[in-house]
Amino acid sequence: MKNILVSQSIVYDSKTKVFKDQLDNQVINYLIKLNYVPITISNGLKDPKAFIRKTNISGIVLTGGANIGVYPKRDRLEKFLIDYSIKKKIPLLGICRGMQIINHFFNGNLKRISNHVRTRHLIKSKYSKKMYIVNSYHEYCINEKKMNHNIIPIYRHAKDNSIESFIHNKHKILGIMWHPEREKKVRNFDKKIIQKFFKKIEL
Amino acid sequence: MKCAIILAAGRPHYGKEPSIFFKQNKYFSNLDILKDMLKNYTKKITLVTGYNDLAIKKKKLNIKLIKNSKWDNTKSLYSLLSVDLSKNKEILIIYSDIIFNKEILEKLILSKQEITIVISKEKINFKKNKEYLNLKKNTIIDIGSNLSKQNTKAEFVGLVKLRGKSLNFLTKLKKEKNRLKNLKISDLMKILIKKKYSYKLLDVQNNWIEIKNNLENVRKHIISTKANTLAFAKKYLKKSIVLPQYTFSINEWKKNKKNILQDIKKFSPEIIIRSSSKEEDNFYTSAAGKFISINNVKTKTNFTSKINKVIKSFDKKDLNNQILIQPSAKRIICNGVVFTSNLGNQFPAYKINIDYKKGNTESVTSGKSKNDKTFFISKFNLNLNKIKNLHLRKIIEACTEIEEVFLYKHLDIEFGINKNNEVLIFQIRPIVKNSQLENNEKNYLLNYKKCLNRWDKDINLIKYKKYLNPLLGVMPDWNPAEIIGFKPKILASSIYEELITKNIWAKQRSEFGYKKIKDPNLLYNILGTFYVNVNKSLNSFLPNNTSNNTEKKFLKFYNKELSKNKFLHDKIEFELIPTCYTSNFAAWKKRLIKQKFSFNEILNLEKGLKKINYNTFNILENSIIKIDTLNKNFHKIVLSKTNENKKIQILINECKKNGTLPFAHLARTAFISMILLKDAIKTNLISKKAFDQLMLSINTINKEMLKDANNVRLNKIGKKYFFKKYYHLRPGTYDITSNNYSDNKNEILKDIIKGPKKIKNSQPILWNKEKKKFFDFLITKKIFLNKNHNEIENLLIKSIEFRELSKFYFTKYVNKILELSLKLGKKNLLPRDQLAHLHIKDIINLSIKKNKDLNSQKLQRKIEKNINLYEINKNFELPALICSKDDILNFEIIRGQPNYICRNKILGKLKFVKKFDKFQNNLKGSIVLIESADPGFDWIFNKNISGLITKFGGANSHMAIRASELNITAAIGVGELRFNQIKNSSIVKIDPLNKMIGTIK
Repeated sequence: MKNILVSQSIVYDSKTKVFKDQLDNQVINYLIKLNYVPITISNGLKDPKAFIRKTNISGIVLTGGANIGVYPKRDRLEKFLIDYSIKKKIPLLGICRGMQIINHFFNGNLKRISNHVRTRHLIKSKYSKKMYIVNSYHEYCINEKKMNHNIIPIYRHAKDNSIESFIHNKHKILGIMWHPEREKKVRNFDKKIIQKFFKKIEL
Repeated sequence: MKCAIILAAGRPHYGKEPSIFFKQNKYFSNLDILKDMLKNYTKKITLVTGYNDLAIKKKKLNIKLIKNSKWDNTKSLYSLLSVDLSKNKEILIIYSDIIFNKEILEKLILSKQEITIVISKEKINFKKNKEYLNLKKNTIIDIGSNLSKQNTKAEFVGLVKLRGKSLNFLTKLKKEKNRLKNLKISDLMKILIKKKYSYKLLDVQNNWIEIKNNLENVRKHIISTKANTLAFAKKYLKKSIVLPQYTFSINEWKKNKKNILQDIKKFSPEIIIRSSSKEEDNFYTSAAGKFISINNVKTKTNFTSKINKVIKSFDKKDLNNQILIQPSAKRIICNGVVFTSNLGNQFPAYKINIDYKKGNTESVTSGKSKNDKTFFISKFNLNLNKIKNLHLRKIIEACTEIEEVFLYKHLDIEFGINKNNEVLIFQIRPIVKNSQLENNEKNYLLNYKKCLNRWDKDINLIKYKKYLNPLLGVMPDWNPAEIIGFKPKILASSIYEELITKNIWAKQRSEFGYKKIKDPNLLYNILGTFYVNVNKSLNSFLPNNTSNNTEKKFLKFYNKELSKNKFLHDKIEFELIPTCYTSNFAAWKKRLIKQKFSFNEILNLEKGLKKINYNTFNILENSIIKIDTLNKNFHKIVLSKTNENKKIQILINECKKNGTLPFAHLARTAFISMILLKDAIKTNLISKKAFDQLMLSINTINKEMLKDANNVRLNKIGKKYFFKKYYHLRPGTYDITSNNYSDNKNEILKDIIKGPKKIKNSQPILWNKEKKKFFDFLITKKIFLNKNHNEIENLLIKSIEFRELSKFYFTKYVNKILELSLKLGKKNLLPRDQLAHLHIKDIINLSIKKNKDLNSQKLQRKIEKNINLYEINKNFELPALICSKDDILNFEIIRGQPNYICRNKILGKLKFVKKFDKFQNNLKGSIVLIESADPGFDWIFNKNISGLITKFGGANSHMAIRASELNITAAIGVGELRFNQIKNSSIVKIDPLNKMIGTIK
């Protein structure tokens, strides 16, 4: 059983005037189904480094939800996590927004894309040319023109060719644009990708 | 002393062998070739090793080896400084991972400067940490491995010569070598140039390549250097004869006429002069170019003018263009082209295009051949003994050898065969490869295997009756190739099967008076293509009074006839089997008597067919009533309050009962009418003109639509009315991915409304005059019994009219089924392109509730599986007619079937181009129609055309290659008949995947 650190999003409760952490509980359940122990990290932590040191984690997941720039606190924490994962060589998985912030971290930017919200579409693999169906909930996609050259796309949308998943050439980083946790059952396709990744085997 | 130093310490970009052992071909590695090139320069070659040096030692090469033991942490300069340089006056420094021409080495050797650096100015692919130069004219501003992208003007090739004093400096550097361990040879050059040693730059242009990950490109480069390739092939090919060639550029010709003329005289007494091109990437553009070539030129005579004539034929006056001289081949009986993998998708198969034209060596490449044959021979389980054609066997043998020797599978080989059945090779070149497509070879082979295993398992099903040979065709009878396409998606094929080929077709036949088929599933799927089981179809055309014994005899005979005369495959009801009683029956009779059918058997057949004729009247009436109910019920069903799933089911049931069944009946009656009319023309009972008049006077729904379109244009009726009536039509009736008219209002309809031809409703005057004779004839010959003239005329006209109308009505149902499927898909988050890969049964079982996130995983897996299968299957080329298992792998492509290039569907305006006209500017975006795939028409590719159709030309002709190179959808060699049909239309659709050309207007 491996510990996996999970990032959360922030909401502002206007009644109590408090910032609260928020996490889709499907993420937790999903990681448990894959035999991991999820540990959430709060956006309010003063010293995240000290917290992580105590947890003995073997992977980090940056979760989805909301766009970049809305809550700077969250962006800062997540960028710290990316930096930490690179320094300590801990595999880092970014889901949807998580993938976008990884791209952001490496000085990339995003562009708007239509037909990617609340739908299912086909993606094709760079290596086998096989196609898979995935869900899709995002309004922005990676702008390839300004992408860091160390980022290597591995899955693309079958039709518009936008990047749906990438890995980093040098660091243990994987980004996926779809939400595996939102599937009713665990898909073999996702399971293989994620387990392979956290086992540190090259994709 | 002169010395060559090869730096081979580094890790190779590719594989585990040091790059120096990279095999350029079957026999020689990089080192062998370097040694050979250097043999006149020096015998003192030093190899600096590092990576995997044991492997190098083991090979016991006859050269000096020096190991750079720190190879992993040092760069090329350190390797160089490991060598003792003190006694040399001149050294050549060569990187081990580059391939270059002999010419460049010769130039380098001749240079007298202290430093000579070989560079490449063309096509720089910038990558960090590689070595580049910044130039201003011919002086170096900067050189080294840390240049920025903006500052690179040329690439450092890795080939350098040092002489004299610069060498002395180098020996001094040796003491400091530890300090210099991170420097490369180019950095050394920078130091030397700073010290003001004189230098010279040599540009190799494109004539070099680095051995990198992309091996394909390296192989292509090696083969592209034509002169070397052919010289090498001449030495090492045993199964074919290679004609040598002599090439020179126009520039050389202008400077040095005399020498060239003398060289040619020595070269051969009789030659062919051809145009060629220097630039490999544009090889086809100009090499095949105008294809001016002059054959049988005797070198004793003065042939300067002939060379000048060829030079004049070049389009651009580029002095780098080349002239190619080969000895003219003697006693050639046929010529052709082989592609050793399929153009466009690299499918592992030989595509051989042969033309038997004596003495001609280029009728195939020039696209002018009219009687050429094209063979498809898969590399899977290739067994030469199974190929009966001697020439084919010889060619394949020769090609396999060439592939082996050059270690490359994608070749374009021009050949000829002489009277002694020897294969002569004129040209070998790499096929321009579409780099986007990946090689799926493993998957292809696996699917072949699966398909062949399934064939064995299903053999009884395929044979239909044990005593028959298998016979499958894409075009006979219900013609799936035309209706759902060559590679349909599963939704289209499943609806078609459900509505027609599963059992409705057989029901129709038995109701009409033909034999009842016991196992009525008509279609069989081979690698994504739907084949009609011809045996079943033939059986269903026998009248129902045929006894079992006679049936056996008939079926055996027809089966054999078709496998012998494959070209009959798309006209079996016309020329293979009589399906109704006509005045022409005597001819059939004769044929059957010859085959020893007994008098009784033939008489019985006649009786049965006559009965079928008599049935037509009743059937016509019943069918008309049925389609009327079909039309009435449509709105009832659509407006009913059931859910979509049930509605689809009800629509299918109703469509089968009152739609496709009567349509099938009407189609048969119409067929009988047409065949009677055509027979009458043949026997001069009625004139062709009268027939045409009759056809024009029949009010089919298609004609009505044209009229309505015309009225819309004239503002006589509203657009809304038009759409309301014709909204449901779509190109590709069963294809959910194509839009129907109402979805596509602006595009397709606009074109149709724009300018329909004027439709006159003429009275068939001539027909009215001549018909009486014809009807009397029908009655006296007992083709129809107890019918008066009016009834017969009614049959002839109504059968055709209502065939079209019933089709019009039942496609409404099909359209609704597709629309409802789309609705269901929307609720389940399934867009069109995914729905298209679901069976109609799966769609009926889709959930009706608005399912926010998920359709079941089973469904998803099904779609994924179907899509992946479709993507692989669409690459398989298959014959139009299969008579045995071997036919799936090896077959002749039957003429008249055009060769489709590229895989994008296109729709566009048609432009017929008759002759060369450079200034014709209105071709942009249109589909161009030309007669022959002649390279003379190459200029059309500069006009931004979207598609191309040609009358003649084969799969390997010039135009085919060019279209595939430029990714332009094309249909090459559509044949005389189809060409004339297409010529008269103005908007055309080409669907290469489904092998369809549709004339929209």
